Amino acid sequence: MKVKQSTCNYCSLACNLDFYVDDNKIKKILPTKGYPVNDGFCCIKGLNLSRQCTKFKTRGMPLIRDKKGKIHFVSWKDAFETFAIKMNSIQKKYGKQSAAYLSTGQITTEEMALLGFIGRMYMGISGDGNTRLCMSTSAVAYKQSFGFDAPPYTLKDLEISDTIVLVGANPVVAHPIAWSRIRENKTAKIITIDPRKSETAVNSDWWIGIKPKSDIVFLYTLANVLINKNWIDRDYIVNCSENFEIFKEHVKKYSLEYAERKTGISGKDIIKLAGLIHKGEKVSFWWTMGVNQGWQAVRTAQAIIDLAVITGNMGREGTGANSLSGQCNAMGSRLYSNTTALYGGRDFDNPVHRKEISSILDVDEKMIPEKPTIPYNEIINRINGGDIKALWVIGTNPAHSWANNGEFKRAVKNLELLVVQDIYADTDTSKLCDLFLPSVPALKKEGSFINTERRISAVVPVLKKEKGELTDYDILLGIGRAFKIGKSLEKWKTPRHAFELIKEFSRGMPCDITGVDYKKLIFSRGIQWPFREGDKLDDERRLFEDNRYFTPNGKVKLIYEEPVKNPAAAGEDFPYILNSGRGTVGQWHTQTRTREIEFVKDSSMASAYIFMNFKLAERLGLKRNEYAIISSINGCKSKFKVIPTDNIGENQLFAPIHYIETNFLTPSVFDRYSREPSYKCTAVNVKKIQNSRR
Amino acid sequence: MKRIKIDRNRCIGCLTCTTACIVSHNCADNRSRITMSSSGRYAPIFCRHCDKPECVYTCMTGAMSKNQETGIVGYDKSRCASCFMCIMACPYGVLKADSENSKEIMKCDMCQHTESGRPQCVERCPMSAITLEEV
Amino acid sequence: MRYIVIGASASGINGAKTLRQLQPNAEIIMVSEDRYVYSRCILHRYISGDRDIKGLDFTEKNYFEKYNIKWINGVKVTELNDGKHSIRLSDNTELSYDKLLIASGAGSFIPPVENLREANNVFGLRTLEDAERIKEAVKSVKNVVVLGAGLIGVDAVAGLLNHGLNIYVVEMNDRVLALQLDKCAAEKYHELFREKGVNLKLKVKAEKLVIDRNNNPKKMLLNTGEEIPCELVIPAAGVRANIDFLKKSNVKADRSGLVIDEKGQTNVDDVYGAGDVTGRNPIWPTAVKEGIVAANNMAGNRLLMTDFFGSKNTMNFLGLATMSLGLVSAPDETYNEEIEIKGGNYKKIVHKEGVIYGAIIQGDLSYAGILTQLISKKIDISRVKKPIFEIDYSDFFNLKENLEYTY
Repeated sequence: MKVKQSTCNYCSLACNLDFYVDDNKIKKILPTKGYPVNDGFCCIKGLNLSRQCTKFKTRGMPLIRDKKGKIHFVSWKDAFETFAIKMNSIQKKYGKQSAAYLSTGQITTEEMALLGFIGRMYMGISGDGNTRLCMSTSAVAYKQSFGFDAPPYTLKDLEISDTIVLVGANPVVAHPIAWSRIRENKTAKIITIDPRKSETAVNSDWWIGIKPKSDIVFLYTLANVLINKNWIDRDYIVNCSENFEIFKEHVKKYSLEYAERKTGISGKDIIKLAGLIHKGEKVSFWWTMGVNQGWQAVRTAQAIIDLAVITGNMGREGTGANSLSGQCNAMGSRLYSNTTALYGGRDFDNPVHRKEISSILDVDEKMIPEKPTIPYNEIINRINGGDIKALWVIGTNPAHSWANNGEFKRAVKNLELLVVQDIYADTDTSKLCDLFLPSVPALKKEGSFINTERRISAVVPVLKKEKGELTDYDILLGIGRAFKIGKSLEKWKTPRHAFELIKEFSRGMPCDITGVDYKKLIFSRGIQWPFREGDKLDDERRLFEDNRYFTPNGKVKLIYEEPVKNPAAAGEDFPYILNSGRGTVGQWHTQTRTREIEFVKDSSMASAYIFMNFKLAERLGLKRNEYAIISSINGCKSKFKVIPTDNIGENQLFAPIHYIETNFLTPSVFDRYSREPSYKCTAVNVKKIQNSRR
Repeated sequence: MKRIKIDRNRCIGCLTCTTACIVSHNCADNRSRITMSSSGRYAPIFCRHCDKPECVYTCMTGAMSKNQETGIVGYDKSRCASCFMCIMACPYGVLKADSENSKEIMKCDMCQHTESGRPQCVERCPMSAITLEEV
Repeated sequence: MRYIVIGASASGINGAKTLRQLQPNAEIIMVSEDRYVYSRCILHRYISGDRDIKGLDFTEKNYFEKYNIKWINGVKVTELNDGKHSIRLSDNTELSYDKLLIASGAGSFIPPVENLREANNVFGLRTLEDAERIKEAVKSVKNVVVLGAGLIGVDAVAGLLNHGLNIYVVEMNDRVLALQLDKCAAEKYHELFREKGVNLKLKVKAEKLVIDRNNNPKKMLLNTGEEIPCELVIPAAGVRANIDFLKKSNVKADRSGLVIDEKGQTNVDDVYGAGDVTGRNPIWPTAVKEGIVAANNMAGNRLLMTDFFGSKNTMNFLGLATMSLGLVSAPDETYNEEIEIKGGNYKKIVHKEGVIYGAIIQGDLSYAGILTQLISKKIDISRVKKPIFEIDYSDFFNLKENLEYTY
C-alpha cells in the first residue's frame, strides 16, 4: 500500500490529501495532517475524489460527431490531426481571430501555461476561462488598487483576526475548511453582510441583511461614518495610500438616511458596525461571489479594499481586504494562463515584459499577443455575430454555467467546429460538440496548483493512466505536435519542464517563485509566493507587511465610483429578485463530478429547487414541494420545486447554481471592468403551476 | 448515558459529520449518514446506542454488546463472523459492512478512541444540528 | 430463591444473565449438556479450522464469575418432576428449583432414510461434539453427502470446502435455501457451489444408504436411481425440540415443541421456556429475547414478548451475502414484485397496497435493516415518494424523549 500526498482539485483552498493506493486503486483518502490549509480535515468532496469517472466513464478514445449526430471513435493521432487541420482551415478561411477557447480554473498551472502558449501564442487566438465567471473581479480590483493581482492574506489570519467581516460570502457551504478555521477562533466577532440569512449568517455574531446589491452604498456609507468619527489610521493613509482626499469627498454624500433607504440597514446599525471596526485591533474583510458577480463588482470590491486601507487594517496579522477564490487553481490561471495577463502577471503592452517572455520561451516577440484576450461574453457575442467559427472548450461546462446559458447553446449552432476536452463525454456541453477529447482526472496528473492564499502545492499522479489515456497536458502536446509547432514546443516537453518555465515567468515579479524546487513540493506543506531564490521558508505569510504595494509609487490606490443602476432591474413585469449561489457543500458547480458521490446523491435534491420567502409563497398559493415557473427579465422561463423559507426577504428568491435551470434565467449583464457576469440579482416573476404537486 | 441529539431542522446536509466520522476512524467508510426524505427534509441517520439494541440481541458471536456503564453499544470486530444479522436487525437501517472486504460492520463507537473521547461528528457540525446530551 | 436454567445457548445464557441483573442475591444454576458455551450458528467455522472452541464463545469474558452463575455442564436433564419442583440429571443427581427456565434447544433429526440410523459416520451439525466428529471423520474420508440444503446444510458445505472432499448436497426442492431464497437468488449460490466443485443434487430424495457389514457408509441411493459415493453423511433436514425429559411431567408440549405464552410461561407454574425448544421462530434473536422475557417474568417483572417476526435471515458464504425477509415471492397476483439487478446485486421487494411483505437483498446489504422493520410491523409506505429500493428511515424520522429513534 502506497501513500501519496496530493492536492484536491475542487475549491480554492486546495486542501492536501493522503491517497492510499494499492494495485493502482485508491483504497482510502484521508486529509493530510499538518498541511497548513486543512491540517487533518477536509470536506466531503475531497474525501471522495476517487469516485470520479467510476460510474460515468468515457471510452478513453476521442470521438467525432458527424452532421447527423452519429458518433465515430477515432485514434488520438486522428483526433489531433483533425483538430489541427480543421482549426487551420477555419483560420485560413475566416481569419486568425475566428477561433477561440474557453478554459477552466481546475487544471494544473502547467496545463494552463501550455494552453496559453499553443492557443494564445501559436494559434494567436483569444482564450478566456471560467475564472471570468468568479474571480476576474478580484483580479482586476487588486491589480488596479495594489498594482498587482495579489491576494494579501494567509488563511491563518482567519484564526487570528478579532473582527471578521464577511461580505457576500458563505464559507459554511462554499469554503468549509475556511469556516472550520474561523471556528478555531474563539474570540473573534463574526459579522456577515448578505441579503440572505445564509448558513454562515446563522452562525455569525451579527447578520446584516442588506437589500440585494445595495452593498456599494453600504460600504461607502460605512467609510463616511469612519472618516467623520476619525476612526481611521491617518498615518497609514498618508504613508501608504493615494487619493484619500477625493475619496473622502466622494463618500461625504452617503448619509445614514440615504443608506437606510437604499440598504434597509438603520443608521444606528451602520454606526455600530463602524464602532466594531474601530474597536477591533485586527479587522479583516473577506469577500467572494456576492461581491464579484455583480454589474459594479470591481468598484464594490475596491470599496472593501478602501475600508481596510483607511482603517489601517492591511499588512498585519489578522487583517486584510481578502478575496476568497473559487476554484483550486484560479490563481494559477490569473498568473500563468497568458490570457488576461502576460505570463507571470506581466503586461502585454510592456516592451520589457515582452522581451523577457520571448527570451524565456526562445520565440520571436511577434508571437506574443499584443493585448489581453477578449472576455468570455465577447467570445460568445462574436460567435453569434459570425466572427468566431471555432470554439475549443476545456474542462468547463458553459451550457450550464454561463449566465443566460441558453445563449451559449444558441451560439454553438453558429459554430463550424466545437471541440470539447473534458473527463466526461456527457456534460451539457460535451453532448453538443463535434470533436471530443477525453481527458483524465487530476488523480493521474503531475503538476501544481496555486490556492487562494497564494500557496503552491504539488499535484502528483496518484493513479497510473490506463493504456490510451491522456492528461490535458498530453493532449495539448499532441495538438502542438499536430500543428508542427516545432522546436519551441520542446521547452514544454513535460510538466516539470513547464514548471521550470513558470518559475522563469515569475522571476522579478511580485509572484516570484524562483526559489521553489518542485521536488521539494512533494510531501510538503506547500509554499506561498513570493519565494525567491535565497528566501527563508515561513509557512504562513501575508503581503504588504513592509507597507509597500506594487504600484509604481508603492502606495495603494483608493478607488471609487458613483453607484450604477442595475441594467436588469426589477420592475412591474419582473418584481422579484432572484439570487443564486452554492446550494450544498457536496455539490460542485454543474455536478459533473459530484454526481458520482453516493453521500451527495443521497442528501441532495435530484432536480432544480428554489427558496422563496414564506409570505411570498403564501401570497402566490404555493406550498412546499409544489412547482412554480420563474420567468426572467432575460426572456426565459424555468420550472423549480418551491421550498418556503424565512431566510430571505419577502420579494427575494434563491436558487442553487447546480441545476441548469438557474442560469437559464440569469441575464447577460457584466461588470464594466472585469466583464464578470452578474449572477446574484436577476429580476424575475413567479407563477404557480396549477395541479403542480407531483 | 450520553446520546447524540439530532435536530433535523438545523441540518444543512453539509456532510461534515460524515467526513468527521471517516477521518476520526482513519478508514474508507462512514458509520452514519444523511439522507433526504420524500419531502426534501434532511434526516441524519445515526446509531442510537439503543436501550434495547436489536443488533446486540441478534448477534450470535458476542461481537455486538451493550456496555451497561457507558450505554454505548460496542462492536468487537475480532469476534464478528460477518453474518450480517445485525445489519438486518437494526430497525433504522443504520448499519452496513465495509466497502472493501464486506467483512467489518461500520458501527458507531462514539469515538471513544479519540483524544477527547467525544464524537467527532458532534465536534465538527457547523450548525449544532447534532449535540451530545445526557439522557 | 433458586433459579435453574436448562441450556447454555442463546436463551439460557441471556436468561440467566437477566435473572442475575434483576436478582442480585438469588441462587442461579445453569445445567447444560454442552461442556462449552458456543454459538451453534458458526460451528462450520470450527469445522473449516477458522475458529477454535474459544472463538465460538459468544459470552462476555468471565461470564459465569461475573454473573455468579453455578454451571453444571456435560450433564443431561432426564426427567422433570414439576410436582416436586425438581429435575433429575443424567448423573443421577436431583436438583430442586423454585423457578425453572427450559432453554434446552433442539437436536438434529435423522430422517427415515433406510440404514441412516444404524450407520456409522452419520453426524448432524447441531452440537460441538457433532462438529468435532465431522472434523475428525473428514481426515479419512473422501466423499461426503449433506442431506438438505437449508441453512444448516449450506453451513456444513461451507465448513467443508477446504478439506479437499467430494461434497454432494441432496435437496428435495429445486434450489438451495428454498425457504429463504427465490430461484434467482439461489441460482447465484448454485453457480458458486459448482465453481468450488460441489455436486448439487436438486429435486431428489435420498432413498437408501448402502452400508458395508461394519455399518460404514459406502453409497447413497437417490430416488432417481442414481448412486453417489458416500462415506460420511451429514443430515441437515431439520431439528426436533429437546423435550424428552418432559414426557412424565404435566408441562404441555405440542408437535412443534414446548408451549409457552407471551410471558414465557408454560402451563405449569414456575416453569418457563425460551428459544428453539419451543420449535417456533427458531432464530437467534428470538431465542435471546424469549430468554430475557422469561427471566423478567420469573423475577417478578412483567414483560411481554412482542417480536414474533421469525422469517428473517441473513446468510453469507462463498463471498456472497443475502438477506431474506418475509414472503420472498408474491403468493398471488394481488401482490407486486419489484426487482432490481445492478452489478452483482439482486434486490427484490414484494409489496401490496402500500405495505411491504417480503424482500430478498443479495450482494450489498447496506442499510437494509429498514426493510425488516417495515415488513415485520407492516408499516404503510405509501407516503414514501422514493424508488422502493431507496427507502430509508428519513420518511419515518422521529425522536423519542430519550433521543432514540421511533416510528
